[in-house]
Amino acid sequence: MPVMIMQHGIYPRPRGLARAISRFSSGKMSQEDLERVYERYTERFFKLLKGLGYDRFSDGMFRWDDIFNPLISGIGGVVVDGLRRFYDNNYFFRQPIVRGRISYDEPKISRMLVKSLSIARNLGIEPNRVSLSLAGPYTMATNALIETSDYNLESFMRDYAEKVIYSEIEGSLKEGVVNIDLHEPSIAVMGNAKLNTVREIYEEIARNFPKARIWAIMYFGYNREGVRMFREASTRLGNIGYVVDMVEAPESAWNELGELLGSGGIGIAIINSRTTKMERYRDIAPKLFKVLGRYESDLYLTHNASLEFLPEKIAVRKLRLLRRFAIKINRKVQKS
Amino acid sequence: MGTGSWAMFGSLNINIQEINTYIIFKISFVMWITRRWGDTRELGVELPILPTTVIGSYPRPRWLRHMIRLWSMGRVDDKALDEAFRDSVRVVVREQEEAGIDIPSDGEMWRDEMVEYFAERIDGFRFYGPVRVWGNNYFNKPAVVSKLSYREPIVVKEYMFLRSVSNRAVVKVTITGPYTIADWSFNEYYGSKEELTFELAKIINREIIELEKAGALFVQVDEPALTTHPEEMDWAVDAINQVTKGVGIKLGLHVCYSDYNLLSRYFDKLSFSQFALEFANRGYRDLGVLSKLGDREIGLGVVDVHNRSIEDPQHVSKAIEKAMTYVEPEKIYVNPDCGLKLLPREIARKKLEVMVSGTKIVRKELLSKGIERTILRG
Ligand SMILES: [Zn+2]
Repeated sequence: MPVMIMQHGIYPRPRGLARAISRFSSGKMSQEDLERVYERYTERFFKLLKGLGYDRFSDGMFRWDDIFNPLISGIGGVVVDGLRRFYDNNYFFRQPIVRGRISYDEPKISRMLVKSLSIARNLGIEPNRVSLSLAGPYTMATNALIETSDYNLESFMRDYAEKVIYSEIEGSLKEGVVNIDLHEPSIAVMGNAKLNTVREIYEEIARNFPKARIWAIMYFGYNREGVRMFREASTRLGNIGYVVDMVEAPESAWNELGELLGSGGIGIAIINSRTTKMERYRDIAPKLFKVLGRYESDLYLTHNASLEFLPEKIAVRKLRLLRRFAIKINRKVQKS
Repeated sequence: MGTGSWAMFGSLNINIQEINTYIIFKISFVMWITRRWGDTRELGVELPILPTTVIGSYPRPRWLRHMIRLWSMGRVDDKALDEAFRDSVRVVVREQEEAGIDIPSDGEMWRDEMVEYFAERIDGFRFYGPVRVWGNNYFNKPAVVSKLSYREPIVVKEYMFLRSVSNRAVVKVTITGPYTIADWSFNEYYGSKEELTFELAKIINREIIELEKAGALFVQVDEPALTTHPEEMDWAVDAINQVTKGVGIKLGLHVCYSDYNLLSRYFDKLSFSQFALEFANRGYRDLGVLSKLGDREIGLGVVDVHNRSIEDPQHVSKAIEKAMTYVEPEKIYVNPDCGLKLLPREIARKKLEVMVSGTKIVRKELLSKGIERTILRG
């Protein structure tokens, strides 16, 4: 089976869009005009990804300020607070503060996605190539400040999954979107203490939505136990996939990766979205070939974190580079 | 000190051996004094007790922002823009002085962003475009694409101009530190971030030496990123110390919105005579770290720069008094938490006025104890 290519997460917000958003916030642009700008850049993004032959991608997430916003402003019981550093990056997000039991009246994000999907359809892109992106339960819980005795970390994760993620998956499936990307840097960088609960939650989501493909996107690090856990979950339930950050992984991780591939989908992140330095085929290909022969199911090559940590120009170059890698690899596999 | 004691010595009847011993003692004592208070003697600057200062940036006047916009559209030329920059420095320095600030800065009028500005002026950097810092806020994150080299003085001209327009004895020049520049850049060239940081340290060191040659007395190195990767702190501190090599003037280190417990473990390893820290924002939690200052000074952040409500003078005086339970007043400078540039200009000015009024309350108490002045220490 040929390797495929995947883009996920937030794409760098183009300058023109950023300017339009600040004009809108200072009352110099109308909502309708801003909408047109969003549409223009979303269309440009889809054209790029389709043109490069990406097998699946987000909608660019141009309306997002970070992986939590605007999602959290739609969650009852959660207050959007001040800025907090996003892991070890010079990048900050508005922190969710959980003040009471949460509620979620409408799937805000999948409704937002509908606008993008109509642009995609006009370009001949089927909704099953576009993914819905949300903060995963562990990442949401570990970045929120839980100020209520109603929850501990685990019960909050469960409630967030059941109320918010379920509602969004239902909303997305109705529109034909099957790929649900749950961003989980916390699994990659934090300890293993809660991994059992995390696994249970993911398996429950997957069982409840057999038509959806539930992806855990792990980045900013490599957590062997986390990867192993998803391998098991994905072997038990074919609709769980996971992205492994091989950029941040130690060299030795390549040796064990072959054993860590489950039967669901896997994304191997080989492109670093936190450096402008271009990856070299000759550095990556030999490692990849060691793994490829062992894998029968859907295998994607991808980048680690969201591309928004890069200037747009470099993000485009890296998307092209990834595509070139995939073509070369598939040719070589075919020959052999 | 000096002649008086020599005269007294002369009247004593002691043997040569003792004289030699005394001379050696005397010389080493003077050397010790010179080392500890050396820059005081060299700089010869006295300051009012609890000197008031700023961290660096100040809001750009509206008309300057307008001029920059016109210039970027090609509607005014470089000369006109430069004149606007200079005039704005005159205005913001005067504004700080009128508010009662003892050690003003030029408000960093020329700088759009603290890393970008330096990267543009060091050879080896290149810019690919903006990246997000938060929400809809972006900065031109530089990339290191070849060996870095010092092109020419970076902020010496800024210093010279500031010196010429301020009527205060001491002015402050700020420089972004090597670790923060490295942390906020992409590294395409050096084998590691550590190597890059040490290379930048050499460049920043050279700039500080140029500033000293030009007559600067007080340079503050800004390192807001310093504690963000705790595992890198050991070498980061070594690299930052490189910028102080061969420098005789006063050097401060500003670290904000950071882990001060972690930072305080490195106080005695860092070769800076002052740490300018943000305390108002954190409601003066962590003031306990001041007990680890040793012989260093604190630049005490007493007004919150991310909050538009204006503190009252009592808030400031209480904060200083609290700090005085850990540090002698001679080792306290009073400043805002961080640069003021994100505040509306009227609010920035009012915050400085309040800061000065609050300081004056404490000065009055100190005066009654005979404490009136402090000395600029290197
Ligand atoms: Zn600061």
